[in-house]
Amino acid sequence: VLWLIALVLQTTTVGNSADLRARFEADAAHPRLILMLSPT
Amino acid sequence: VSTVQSEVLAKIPSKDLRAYFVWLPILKNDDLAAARASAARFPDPRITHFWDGDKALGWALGELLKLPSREQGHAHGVAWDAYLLYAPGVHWKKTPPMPTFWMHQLWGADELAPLLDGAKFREQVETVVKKK
Repeated sequence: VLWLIALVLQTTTVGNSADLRARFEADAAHPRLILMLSPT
Repeated sequence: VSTVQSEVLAKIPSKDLRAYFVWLPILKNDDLAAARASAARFPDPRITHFWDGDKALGWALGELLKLPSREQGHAHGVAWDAYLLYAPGVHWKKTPPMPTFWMHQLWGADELAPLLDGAKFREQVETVVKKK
């Protein structure tokens, strides 16, 4: 189980928020949500 | 965030919808590792995760939304526990655009936007998704 959890953690990409603008623009034809969140 | 997951993303299966989860250091133990661990709880392929380590986006959105300041020396607060919806066609120029609709769970911001209500937020998202 621990191995599986570690694998999931490794495969979840968390990008830099400085790149969000480009992503937001690339998705401009779509409805979009931005959620501002504390991780804990 | 679990409210948005269970009431909005889980109930609106549209593949057209995009969601950006921006994790930022607000509480004592918030760091990139914690953000990665939290991100792993949301495997929905429509979600893209970001880390706002210097809170640059948090401050920018706080200014845009006119959130009240909680720190001396700052004219406005940081946007967190904030949930923003954008309709198709809204563009991000020099600064982040004003959301089409937003909700929050912030103290002192009741007059700016409604407190988060999963069902009401879902209604707004559904309206935007159906219009497309």
